[in-house]
Amino acid sequence: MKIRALFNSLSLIFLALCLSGCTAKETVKLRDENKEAIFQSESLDIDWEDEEGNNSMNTGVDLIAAGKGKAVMHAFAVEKDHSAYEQKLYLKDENTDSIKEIPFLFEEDRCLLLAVGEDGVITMLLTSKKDDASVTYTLTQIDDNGNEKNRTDISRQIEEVAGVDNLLKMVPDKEGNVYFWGGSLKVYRLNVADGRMVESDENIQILNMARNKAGEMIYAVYDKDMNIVIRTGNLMDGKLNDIARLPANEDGVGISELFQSSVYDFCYRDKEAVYGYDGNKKRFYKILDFEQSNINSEKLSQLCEISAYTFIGTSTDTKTADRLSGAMVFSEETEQKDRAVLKMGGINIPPIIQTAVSRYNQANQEFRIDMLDYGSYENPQAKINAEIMAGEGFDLLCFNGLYKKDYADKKLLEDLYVYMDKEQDIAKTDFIDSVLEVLEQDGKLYDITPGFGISTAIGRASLLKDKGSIGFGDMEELLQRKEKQGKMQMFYRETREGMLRHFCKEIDRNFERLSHEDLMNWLETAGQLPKETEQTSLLEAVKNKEFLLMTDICAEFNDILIYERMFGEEAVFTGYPFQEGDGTELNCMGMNVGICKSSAHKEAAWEFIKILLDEEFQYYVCYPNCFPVRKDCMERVIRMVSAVEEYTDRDGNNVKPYCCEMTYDDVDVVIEAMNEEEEKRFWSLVDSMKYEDMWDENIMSIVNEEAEKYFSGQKSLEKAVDSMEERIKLHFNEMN
Amino acid sequence: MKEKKRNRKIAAIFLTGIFAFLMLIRVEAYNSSTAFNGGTMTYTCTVAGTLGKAGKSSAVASTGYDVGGYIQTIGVFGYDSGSSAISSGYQESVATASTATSIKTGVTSYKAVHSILDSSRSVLKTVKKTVQ
Repeated sequence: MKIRALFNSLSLIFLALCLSGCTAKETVKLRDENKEAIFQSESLDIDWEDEEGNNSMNTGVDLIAAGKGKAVMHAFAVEKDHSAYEQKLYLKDENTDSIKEIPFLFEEDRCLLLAVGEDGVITMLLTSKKDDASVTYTLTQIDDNGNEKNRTDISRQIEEVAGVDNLLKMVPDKEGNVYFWGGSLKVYRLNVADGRMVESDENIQILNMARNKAGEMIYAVYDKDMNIVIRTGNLMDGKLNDIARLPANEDGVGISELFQSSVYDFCYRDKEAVYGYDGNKKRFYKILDFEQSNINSEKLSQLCEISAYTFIGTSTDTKTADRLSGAMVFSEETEQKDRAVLKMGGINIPPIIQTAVSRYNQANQEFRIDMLDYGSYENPQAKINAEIMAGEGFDLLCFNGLYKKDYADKKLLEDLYVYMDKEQDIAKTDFIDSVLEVLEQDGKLYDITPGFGISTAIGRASLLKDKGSIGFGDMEELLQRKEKQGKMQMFYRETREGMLRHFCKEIDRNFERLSHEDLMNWLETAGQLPKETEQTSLLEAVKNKEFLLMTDICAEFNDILIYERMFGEEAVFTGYPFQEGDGTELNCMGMNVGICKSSAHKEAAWEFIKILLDEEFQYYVCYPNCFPVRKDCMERVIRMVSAVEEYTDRDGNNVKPYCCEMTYDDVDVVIEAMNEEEEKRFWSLVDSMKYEDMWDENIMSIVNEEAEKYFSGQKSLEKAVDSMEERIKLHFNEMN
Repeated sequence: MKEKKRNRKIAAIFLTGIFAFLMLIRVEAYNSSTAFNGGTMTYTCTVAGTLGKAGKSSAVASTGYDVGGYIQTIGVFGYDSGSSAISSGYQESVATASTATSIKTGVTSYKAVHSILDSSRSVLKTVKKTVQ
């Protein structure tokens, strides 16, 4: 029996290998081995003709579609107070640089989606609202002069089949059927023959769709091993054939866009590059490298090919206050600039830093930054350290997931105050005091971040008001005081590992001051928490007062203002209940960057840091993803969030009285302008940050290992803590 | 607010000769719509794969919005069991927007943040949802 079972297992493994072999892992090559895939970007000059010459409108290009050697763009202009909305269409031919305006004859409708068919006909999905608030959807086809060729009302089909799904993309096939891709990872096909709309097989998650070079429909889907595979065939009955499996890049496998190409079988892009697939050679080629080409892919929302090796897309990276989004054409750089390279090392380098790199590379004629992301390595910090040891140093380090203290202690980083002091228009006093104080080490500043979040714990004033900073003892006392102590939890959705991570930080900062009993107390408390949390209703937990504290990273004002509205009473930001209190921490959100001492181009690296410290960058790029570190920028944001009357800001933006509808899981609140008392409490929260939210993975693994032995019953609490203390002491001795 | 939650186990069976293969991809998602400024905003975050320390997963977040003239931002973050973000995707757009994280091992939950901003960067609407 055992032999048969073994045979069956081996057969299954063999079969699995055979099946996976159908889509053998692809590799990516450069199209021209001798040339980097560098492109130049050019913004298409689509200026709204404002006859009165005023700038009361915001304009943008929101939709782009291409095919048959042309690209069509949908542009809009909206009054800054949103009282009027106008639309235009533009056409760009592959052979000419100029663009032609096409009359948009559907003033009552708004264009939601745009596509160009195999026959070159332009298709639009239009929507309009009736007086009774019902919505109609119309599929309209026009020629290159804007004349309507066909119009079909598909409101019923969309309502009945797609329902509330987001329709993100539309592609007509060769037969004239129209495919819609929705955010629920489904595709809906509108049959030209009978007008029916059918939904794709529910077992298939579709990550994108397009026509390939031959005009057949292709789909990006997950396979059984969570790889992304390009397939073709009948999506509706699930009979699909594999074409290729997407290769992994440095950050894993991902796809942001799939589109038709005149050169390759198909093209796709992720956040790093555009790739083309050659079916004959069964190989992917990197065609356009965003980073090398100075293109900010995070701000790019649509991309298609207009002609061989020329792409067109929409981008919100316009740097013009009145223009919300523009159309960009990307073509091969004919003369590549010979620039020195600065290497930036990091792990999953955050989008804001990528944006800054893109800006640096666009502006700098002598240097460009090459981001080396080690996110896909099993132990990325060890890999980065090995590179440094091997002399393959970096010019800049981004500390997302890196334990900065190791590099600062080993004197591998420059003191940024030295650079700051040389600048006429940058001073320490420009930045929020507590941020610099937390980042400083022995009076030196080894890293700086453009923005930050506040890692803290929040509870109701009625439960915590009499407590200033909360320690563990206080928490236990509070819990015992509650009548419904069986129901009341210490935390909302905290896990064992989450709590151990906080212990780890406290051990790193205050090990000498922690007693054996403190550690025992913590470990015992962590043992009472679940390994993983279940999805529970926040609304119910708040309503039933089921927890004392909720941990959060507040990165913008709504994150702070929501709690008072949610609790229906004053919210107290106590921070995590460490033994000594002071649990509110500065969270750099992985955006802190330092200059390496070994860099041969330190001044050029400092020029990059200056982008992060720029007020315009912090306002338009950082907020609302994080709080700005510049005082003047924070004041500008506070003025916006506190606005009770309309005003015009210094960039000519019309700022309305503040009102934000916020949904946090299943809790809905309306947040209106922040008042003086709330502003005061905000600054006091900022001032309360004493430490940075970071931890040493070495300590973390000691704590985790010993804790696991206690949790699994291998060791008593006492013995687990004994070993933990011993190992941590040894670690600190080694570090010293 | 209209909300539809799904938690499905999807099974696909490959039959080749005498062997049968069972594939399980778990999909967790939320799909909700809400009114904003006379229009309807629709939010979706779909997580495919298996959440947990050993599981491979990825999340796709998107938003549809049928009134132009605002900037939409979408961020989706994958967290490990200690609440540390280990994967992310971000996209800005003035039309519908979508972003996907790359496929990662060890993500235990995803949080999607959808926001609508006006040209002054004032946040008019923000939706933060966790998928576990």
